[in-house]
Amino acid sequence: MVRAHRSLAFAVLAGLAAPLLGWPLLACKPNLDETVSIVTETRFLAVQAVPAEGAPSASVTFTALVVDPNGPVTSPAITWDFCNARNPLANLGPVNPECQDPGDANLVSMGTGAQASGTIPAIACRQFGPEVPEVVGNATPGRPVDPDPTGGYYQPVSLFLPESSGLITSSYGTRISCGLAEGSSDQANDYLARYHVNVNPAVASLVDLASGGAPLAPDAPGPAATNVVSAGQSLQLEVAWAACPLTDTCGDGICGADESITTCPADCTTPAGCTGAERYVNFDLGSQSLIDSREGIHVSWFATGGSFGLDRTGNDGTDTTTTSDNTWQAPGSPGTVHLWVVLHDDRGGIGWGAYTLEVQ
Amino acid sequence: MKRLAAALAAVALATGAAEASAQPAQPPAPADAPAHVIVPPKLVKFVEAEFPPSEAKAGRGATVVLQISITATGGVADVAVQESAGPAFDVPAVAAARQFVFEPAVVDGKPIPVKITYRYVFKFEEKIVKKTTGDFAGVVRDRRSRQPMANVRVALDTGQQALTDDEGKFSVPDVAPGEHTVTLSGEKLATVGTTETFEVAKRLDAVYEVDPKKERSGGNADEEEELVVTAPRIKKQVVSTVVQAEQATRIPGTQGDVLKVVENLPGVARAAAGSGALVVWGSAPTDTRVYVEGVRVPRLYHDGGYRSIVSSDFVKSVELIPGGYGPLYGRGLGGLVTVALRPLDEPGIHGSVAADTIDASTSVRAQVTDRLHVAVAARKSYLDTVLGAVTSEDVGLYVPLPRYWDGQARAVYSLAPHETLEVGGLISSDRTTRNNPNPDPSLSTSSTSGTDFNRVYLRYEKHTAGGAIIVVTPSMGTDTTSLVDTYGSTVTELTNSSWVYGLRAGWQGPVEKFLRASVGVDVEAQTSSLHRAGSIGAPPREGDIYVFGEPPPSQINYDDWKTVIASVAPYAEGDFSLLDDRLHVVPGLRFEPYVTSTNKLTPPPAGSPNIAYTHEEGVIEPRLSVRYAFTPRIAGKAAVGIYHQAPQPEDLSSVFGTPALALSTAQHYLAGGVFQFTESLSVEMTGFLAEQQNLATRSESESPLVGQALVQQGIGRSYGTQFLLRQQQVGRFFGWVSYSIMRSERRDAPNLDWRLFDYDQSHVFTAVGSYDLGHGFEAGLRFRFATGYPRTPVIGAYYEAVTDTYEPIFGPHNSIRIPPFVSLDARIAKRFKLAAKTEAEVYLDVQNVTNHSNPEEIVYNPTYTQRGYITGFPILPVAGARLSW
Repeated sequence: MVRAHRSLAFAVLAGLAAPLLGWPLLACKPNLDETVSIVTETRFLAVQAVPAEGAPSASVTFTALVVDPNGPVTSPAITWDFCNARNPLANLGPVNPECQDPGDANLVSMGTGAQASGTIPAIACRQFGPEVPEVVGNATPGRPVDPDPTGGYYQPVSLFLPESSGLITSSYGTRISCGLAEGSSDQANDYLARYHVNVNPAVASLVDLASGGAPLAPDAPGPAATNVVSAGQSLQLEVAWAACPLTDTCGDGICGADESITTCPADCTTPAGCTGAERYVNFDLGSQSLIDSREGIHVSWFATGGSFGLDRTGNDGTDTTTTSDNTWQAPGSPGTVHLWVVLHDDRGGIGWGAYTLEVQ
Repeated sequence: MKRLAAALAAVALATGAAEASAQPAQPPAPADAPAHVIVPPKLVKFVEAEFPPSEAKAGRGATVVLQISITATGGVADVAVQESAGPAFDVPAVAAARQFVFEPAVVDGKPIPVKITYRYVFKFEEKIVKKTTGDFAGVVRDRRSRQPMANVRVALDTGQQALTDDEGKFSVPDVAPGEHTVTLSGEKLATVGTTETFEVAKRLDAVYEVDPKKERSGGNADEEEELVVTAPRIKKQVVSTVVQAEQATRIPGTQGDVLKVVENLPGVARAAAGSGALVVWGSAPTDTRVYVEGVRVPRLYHDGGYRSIVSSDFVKSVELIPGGYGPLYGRGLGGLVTVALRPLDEPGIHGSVAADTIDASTSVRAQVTDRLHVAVAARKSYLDTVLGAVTSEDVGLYVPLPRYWDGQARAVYSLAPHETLEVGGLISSDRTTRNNPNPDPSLSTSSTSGTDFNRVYLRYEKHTAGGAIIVVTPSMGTDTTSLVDTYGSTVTELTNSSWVYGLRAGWQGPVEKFLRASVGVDVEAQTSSLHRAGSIGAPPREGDIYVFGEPPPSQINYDDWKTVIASVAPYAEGDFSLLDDRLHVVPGLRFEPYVTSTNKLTPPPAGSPNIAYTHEEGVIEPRLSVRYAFTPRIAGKAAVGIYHQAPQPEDLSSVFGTPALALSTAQHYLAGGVFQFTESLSVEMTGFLAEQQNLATRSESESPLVGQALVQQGIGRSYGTQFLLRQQQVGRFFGWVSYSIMRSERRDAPNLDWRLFDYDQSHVFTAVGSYDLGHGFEAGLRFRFATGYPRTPVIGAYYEAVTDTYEPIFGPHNSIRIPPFVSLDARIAKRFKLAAKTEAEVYLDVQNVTNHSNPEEIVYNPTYTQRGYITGFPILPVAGARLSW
């Protein structure tokens, strides 16, 4: 996985004299293991919330993908908590560090297991959204939380997985439906009418282009499907997701960014989203106006063996392609390899596909 | 000074041609003989004779008796000496008498010629007259042998001159006060010059050491000489280091850039590679102010620190004052860098062209008329183009390659002797771009930054006959900065367009024999239009805990705002010279009312107007410094002072900062001493303590108030000691060794512990030396050691599922350090004389000769399970050439 942003290579300036003196250009980046796509220890690969976005007091079911070098961990003893600690401006991390402390008083338990269900706190939009935070006594109200580039706000969820090597912690943010932080009342009403909650992306297919596009069979409930590959074989993988409409057509079954229950009741009475790169309405802070945006889809690749060409691939919102490619080379010795492809959309939605490969 | 006494004249009247004469006693004439009416001649125009200097010096007077023949018309026909007082008196007496004019003698109503006896008295009277000039004396020596040089002509621009005797001594009395050019010339040396300042009733003793012609390396008699002035000069600042331009260009690592020498001076932390930030005595880069001839400029170096913003051909000297400076300057909690431009007074046309790995530059200076001199300079970088041609494309992905250019122009007009009017301008531009694409667009990063500034100024300077200096410098200009960073879909934008107005007007001069005063006013105003979008955590602030390359927080906001920050600071300072000039007590006072105004106190609701906010605050800043010369070789010094600094316009945003920020405050305490081993070798030690209050820091609250993202709860302290062992040019060598041991700390909120300042460097050691090898060759070495910057360790990590990244868990704030920096740099140069006044120089400046691997930053693998270091430049040779005429 290319993590150039983490270890910005500090390439050396050898100067004009370099070619004259024969000095090569030297990169001064340390040799660190930057590959995260190969699973070498128990770890979280993804967390999914269903629905992907909910309003305060809505019910949400969370599922974690936990794996180890042998494959998926079927019954991880994950402790799930909502974390109600606001993040100080002085902390540049995504959540308050107190959310990583399993004994912190700000944690509200949702249970233990591979899955958990909970109710989004009623004050979520005040604690983590555009509404004025709760006031204690006669104190002056504080400042609301700023949205992310998609206009979204997130209720933190803390996950704690005890392992023999120690406690593994994870943080997740479930997207919460709140109003607009800025804009006129007309804009707020328009936004409420046109904004449709996020839907998790889903893997439509994973194929090997080197084998003429032969699809890999995903793991299914029950006996895992078998995909056979040769030792050392190189696969040209392509993951695909649903092609969401680029324009709104009433009656296509998708309630789009420019459609509302008023303009297209057929699609929007019971709004259905798309499991690909959805279009959504967003409030642009610069122009102070509502704009149409489109999600990007980002792909994380994982396996318990072999090696990937890239750790992460993906498309931004301007790229209408509904696929993303990578290469994977099977290990040189026979065995079972588990492979996962995790999709993330820009609004916090997550979906994944799991595959088992027999290396022969 | 003795004054001639008025000559007294005793006139003895004697008739000459008249018939009348004294009669012997006889019987009375018959009653019918008539009486004659005689009117003696009357002196109507007296001419004062010149008192003979030799006699005045001897303190002698005399009387010369003259016989003056007066015509019938009252003129003087002849003067004869009847009683001589010696030729010294006789000659001037006769000369004066010949110019007398009389009313002629009249007998019975008819003018007649007569002869009279006239006593011309020269009377010596001693009278004390207030001296209105200074005296100049000294000795001229051969620099290498230290032997006196005879028959060297010491000439002033007043026309006065003297020849050195066999002991090399000279004396020029009665020099008009003020600044004068002094030139030395002679058979054995080419003309060299310097500038001296003369004061009323004071004697300036100077020791000049020069290289005789035949011993000059390069063997060219016409080569420009260097004059080393070792006359004792009174340094106004308690702690400051001044480096002349000619020395600064010969330091390894500067590539001939004068202002780069500041990085090698005591009290200056070593900047991170590619930074160029100026960190002085543990203060933030924005706390140290930079002035070019009294005009404030926003930076000293271009992006990356490769070059300074002023052509070296324009620079006469640079002075670094790390702290404790006097009331003439303010508005900064840190140090002060002042750049003096070289005077424009050379006849003819001079210039230079230079090029090296990084950039090319040129300058021209010309005398247009007897009163008007002009100069222009320009420089442009091409490092990005060079690297693109010789290296892989990946370089630009990871390393910000700066692109810069700058220009300066000056015109100096001599209104009168010692009175000039200068019009000048500075302009500078920097652009840096870096793109780092990624197959996953959410991990792609890019950065584009720009910094431009320009200044236009007038400078009126007058040196009065009384020894005072009056300087008035109005200036104005613009500062524009822009930054656009992207990390995936999170965009950070920050732009600041400012107009800056300044006015410095000051008088400094002698008030009494024991007192020299400076009074003036320092005015500055800045109006800014700012725009910021993106995360409140980007760009990061000093004190933020983060990992290099970490993505910024994803929460974003947006703001446009305007600010006005202005202050007017009248100041006064007196330099009391006591105990035969061994003790100087310099009290000073600066009174400075500030106005800080912004157009938004809080983010207004949609459709609502902005609510502006104005903060007024007046501060009094006493300053005091004391210097005492225990012996001619040992001096002690101390200084205290209070300083204030207005908030940065970037911090006055109602969204990203706090519009109601007030001034920050600092107190400086210094004490130290100087020991002069010889006239050119000295060691100086200074201990210091600087404390800061009301520093703007991020709110620690989980619910910060609207419009209060920053709070003024931060305090800081910096303390330590610095040493400077300095050898001025002696023989072929000059150099210095500087060492600073210091600690700089901050406490961001009352409930937090003290932590190391992000720019803290416990130890900074620099040794610099340059040696003239002869035959035009010159070599230099520089050794540097610096403690690494503090960093906050990562002690764990957790998985962040939304972004599919790992987030660091941090240990104690700034509790570890990047390993120390060690570097040995070398420089070799060769000068060629091409024509009478044309010289070429080629040089090779090699940084990190030993190829030592110096860590510059800590980095981690994506899961934070491994830690490593990004290392800086390996051996870095820079070749360059320069042609000057």
